[in-house]
Amino acid sequence: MLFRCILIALFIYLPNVGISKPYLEKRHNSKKCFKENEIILNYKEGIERNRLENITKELNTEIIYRSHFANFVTVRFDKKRDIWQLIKKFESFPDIVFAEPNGIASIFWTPNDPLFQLYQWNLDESHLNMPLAWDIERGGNSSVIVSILDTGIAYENYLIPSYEQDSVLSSDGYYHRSPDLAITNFVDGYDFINNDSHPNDENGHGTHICGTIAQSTNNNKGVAGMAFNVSIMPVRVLGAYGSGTLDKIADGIYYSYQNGADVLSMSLGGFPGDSIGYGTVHQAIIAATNAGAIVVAAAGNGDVGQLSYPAGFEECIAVSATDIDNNLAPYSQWGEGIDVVAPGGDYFDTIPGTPYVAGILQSTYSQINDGFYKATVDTFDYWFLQGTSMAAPHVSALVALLISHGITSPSAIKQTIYSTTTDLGSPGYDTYFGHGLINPPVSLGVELLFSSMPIIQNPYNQQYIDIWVVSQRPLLNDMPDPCRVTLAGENSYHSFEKVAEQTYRTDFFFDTSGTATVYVTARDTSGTQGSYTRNFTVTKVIGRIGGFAESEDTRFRITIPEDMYDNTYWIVIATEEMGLPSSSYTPLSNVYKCGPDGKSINVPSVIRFSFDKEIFNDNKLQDIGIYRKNGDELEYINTEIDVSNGYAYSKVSEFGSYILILWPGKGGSSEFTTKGLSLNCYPVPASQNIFFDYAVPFASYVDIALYDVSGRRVKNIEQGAFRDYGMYTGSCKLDNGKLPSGVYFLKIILSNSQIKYEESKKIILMR
Amino acid sequence: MVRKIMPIILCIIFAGCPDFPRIGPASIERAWDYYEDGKYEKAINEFVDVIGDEPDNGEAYNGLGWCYGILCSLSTAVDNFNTALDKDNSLVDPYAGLAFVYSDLPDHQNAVDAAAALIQKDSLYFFGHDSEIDYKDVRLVKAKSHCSLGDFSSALSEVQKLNPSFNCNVTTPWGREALLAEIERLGGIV
Repeated sequence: MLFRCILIALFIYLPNVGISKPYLEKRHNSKKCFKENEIILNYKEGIERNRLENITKELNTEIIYRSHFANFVTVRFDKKRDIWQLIKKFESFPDIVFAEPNGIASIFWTPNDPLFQLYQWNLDESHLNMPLAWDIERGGNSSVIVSILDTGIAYENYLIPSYEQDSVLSSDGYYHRSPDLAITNFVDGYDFINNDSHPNDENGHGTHICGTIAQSTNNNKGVAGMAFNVSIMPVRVLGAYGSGTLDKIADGIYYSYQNGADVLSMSLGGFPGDSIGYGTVHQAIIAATNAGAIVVAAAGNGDVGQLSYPAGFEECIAVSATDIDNNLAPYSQWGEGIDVVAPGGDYFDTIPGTPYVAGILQSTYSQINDGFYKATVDTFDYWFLQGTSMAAPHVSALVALLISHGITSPSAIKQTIYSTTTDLGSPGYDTYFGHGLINPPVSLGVELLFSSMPIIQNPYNQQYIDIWVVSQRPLLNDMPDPCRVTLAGENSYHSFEKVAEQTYRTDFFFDTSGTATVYVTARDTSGTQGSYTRNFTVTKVIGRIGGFAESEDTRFRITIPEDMYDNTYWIVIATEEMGLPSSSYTPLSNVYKCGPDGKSINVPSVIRFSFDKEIFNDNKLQDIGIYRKNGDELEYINTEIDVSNGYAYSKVSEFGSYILILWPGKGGSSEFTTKGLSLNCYPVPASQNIFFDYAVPFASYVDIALYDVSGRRVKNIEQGAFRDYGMYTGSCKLDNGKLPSGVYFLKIILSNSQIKYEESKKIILMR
Repeated sequence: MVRKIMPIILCIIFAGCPDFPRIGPASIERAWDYYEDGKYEKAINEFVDVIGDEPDNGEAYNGLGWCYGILCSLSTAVDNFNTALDKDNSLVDPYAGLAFVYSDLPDHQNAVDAAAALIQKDSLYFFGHDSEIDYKDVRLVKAKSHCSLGDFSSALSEVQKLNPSFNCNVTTPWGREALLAEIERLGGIV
C-alpha cells in the first residue's frame, strides 16, 4: 500500500517539473529540476516519421528516445542553447502538440530520525516542508560552510582546559561531542572568549542552534537538521552565561569569512534599536558581505516593534519568529528592516496530540547554563526551546542549501528567499513578517503553486476586472480559497469559479481610487500551501481635468493630459519583477504596466521614474534609460535624466509596460533641462487641436494662453494651475469658427514667489 | 416695449422649465455631438426626441444604446441596441455595443455572438463617435468572453488576430496562463 502511495505521488509531480514560465525560468535557471539539454515533443497522431525528423533536424536537435506507447519523442541539443526559446520554436510547428523540458523525478525521502516525525513540526509539510525540499537538495554540500557565532558547539571530545573547568560540569573532565552531531561535518573554528582553537559550548545554546542547521540526520537517532551535509564552523563569541562583547563578535565575523564561511549565523543581539557600540560589528558585517558571505541575524525576543542589532543592519537577513500556527510569536521583535520569519516556537502552544510545548526541538546538554546551574557538558538530551534564536538558523540552513544547489550570488540568494516566501499578515511586505515565512521547497525550485495572476481590465467598463489564477498543480478541493481584494482599506472576498483544469476565475468591481491588493491562497493535493499577491494602483482620471496616475510604490508616474472629452476613465498601474539581471543590463525598477498595452493616448503623456541618484557614482547618465517592454523585447525610448533629483522622463503616446534600465553602451539618454521650459507645440500647421509639452523646472503656478499677432489673449488654456517639478503635456481645442486662420502664439508662464519663467511658441492655424 | 420684454420673459420661462418643448427639430447629429462631449443625459434626450419624430430611426436607438451603456444601464442598452438592429439591419455599431454591454453584464455567450457578428460584417470596424473604440476592443472582449466560457482555443484564435506572433498550447494549464497573461497585456491593466 505504501508503495502504491509513492507511485501516485510520483505521478502527480512528474508532469509539473520545469514548466515553461519566463519568470521561473530566469530565477531557477541554475537548478536541475529538468535535463537542461533535453525536450519532450508531443506530436500529432499520424505524423510521418520523416516529417518529425525534419522538424528536429531543422532545429538542430537529435531524437534520443521514442516512446513505445504514445506520441512523444525526446530530443537532445547543445547545452548552450536556450531551452525555452527552443520549446517556443517547436510549438510553432502545427505538428507539435506541445513541448516541455524533460523533468527529473526522484523518490520521496523522509529521514529515519525517530523524533523527526513526532515533534519537529517546524520542518513538516504545514511549515517548512523539508521532506519536499530534501527531494531537491538533500542536506546540502560539505563544501558549504556555515559559521555559528554563538556560545560554542558540543562538537568534540576534548579535555576541559583548566581555565574552563569552573564554567561547566563534567563527570569525566571532558567536553563531549553531542551524540546526535556524530556524523555532522565540522571545520576548524575558534574560541574568542578564551582565545583558543577549541570552541566548545559552555552553555548549550550554540549546540541547539547547530542542530537546527546540521543535526546528524537519517542516522536513526533523535532529530533532523535542515542542511545536515554542510560543514559547520564553531565560532565562540559568547560566554557560559550566553553573553559576550562586541569586539569578540566583530573578530568572530572577520575570522569566519576569512576562513571560508559562506554563511554567518548569529542568534544574538542587543537591546531593541540600540546600536551603540555596534560600529565595529557593522564594519565587520560589511566586510563579510562584501566578501560574498551571507549574514543571518535574529530579530530579538523583546516583543517590541524595533529590531535588535546586528539584525537591524541592512546587510543582514533579519529573522523574526513564528509559532506553530504561523502567527508572529508573542516574544518576537518586529519592525522596519525585518526580512523574513521562520519557526521559533511558543511555549504557550502545544504540539497537537502531545503534551509537549511547541518549541523547536533539538539536542543539547541535559542541563543548559541558565544562570543558576552550569551546563553538563557530558550528558545530552532533546530540548524544546523558543526564540528568534531558534528561528534564525532555519534561514541560515536554507541559505546553505541554496548555495549547495548552485545559487551562489548573495543578491540572488536573497532575492530567491524573499520572492518565494509564504506571505503572512498583510499582503506583500509588512514589518511584522517581512516578506513572509521562508519556503525552502519553493526556494529550491519546486514550482510555485501560482506563478502569476492575470488581471484583465474590461476595455469598456474599465471599473470591472477579471481575476484569474492558474495553479501549477492540482488543488485541494479543486479550488483556491476565496481571494481577498483590499482597496482603500476595505477588504472584500471573491469566490472563484473553475473554468478549466487548474484554471479559475473571479471578478471585482471598483469604484474608488487607491492601492488594490489581490491575495489568493490555496493548497495543493499534498497539502503544500501556495499564495500569490498582486498589487496595483487604481486612479480615476477625469478627462476634462487630467492628472496623473502613480504606482503603489510611487516610483513610477504617468501624466494624463486634459482630454478632448469629459470622459472619466480609470488607469490601473501594476508592477511585475523583471527577474534577475541579464549579463548586459541591470533593471533599476520593476516593470510597470499601465493601461491597455498599445492603446494610444489621445495626447502624448510623460512617464517618470524615480531612482537612487547615487547610481551616478559609478555609471554614466547616457547608460540609464527607459525601455518599453513588449513581450521579451526591450525597446529604448528617448529618455531625459534629471541627475540632481534622480528622475528619468520619457514622452509616450501609448499605454504599455515600462522599465528603467542601466544598460552600458545602449540608449543615449540626455540630461533633463532645468533651465527653461522646453515648450514644444504640434502639429504644424494646426487645424482643430494643438498639443504641447513643457518642462517645469521648479514647483510653480502655470498660466498658459493663446495670443494673436497683436498680442491679444484669445484663449485661456490654464490659469494658475499648480505644477510640481517635472514634464507635462497639454492640449487645446481650437474652437470651430471662432479663431480665423493665421499666426498665433502659445505662451506659458511659470511663477512662484521667487522666480518667473515664460516662453512662447508660434502656431500657424490653417482651417 | 412689450416686444422687447417678451423674449426676455420667454428666456426666463425656458430656462426655468427644462421640459418645455424644444424649438426646432431634434437632430441626430446634435445628439451625437452631446455624446462625443460626454453629455450623455442631453444626448439621450436628443435621441429620444429624434425617435419621437422618426419612430423607425435605428441610428437613434443605437445612440441610446451607447448612452445607456456608458451610464451602466446595461439592460436598457441591450434593449435599445436590439431595437436599433430591428429597425435597421444595415447598422454595425449596435453589435459592438452589444458585445461590450454583454461583457459588462456579464453574459459571455451573447458577448461572443455579438462580437462575432460585428467582425463578420466589418473586420476593421471602428466606432465613429469615439476613436478609442475599434475592432481590437471587440476582439479583445471576444477573447476575454471565450476564456470565461472555458473556450481557450477560440480565445487564442482571437488573440492571434491581435498579435500574430503569439502562440501557446491552451490544453495545458501553463498555456492557458500564458494566454491570459497575453490578454491582460493586450487589453488590461496588468
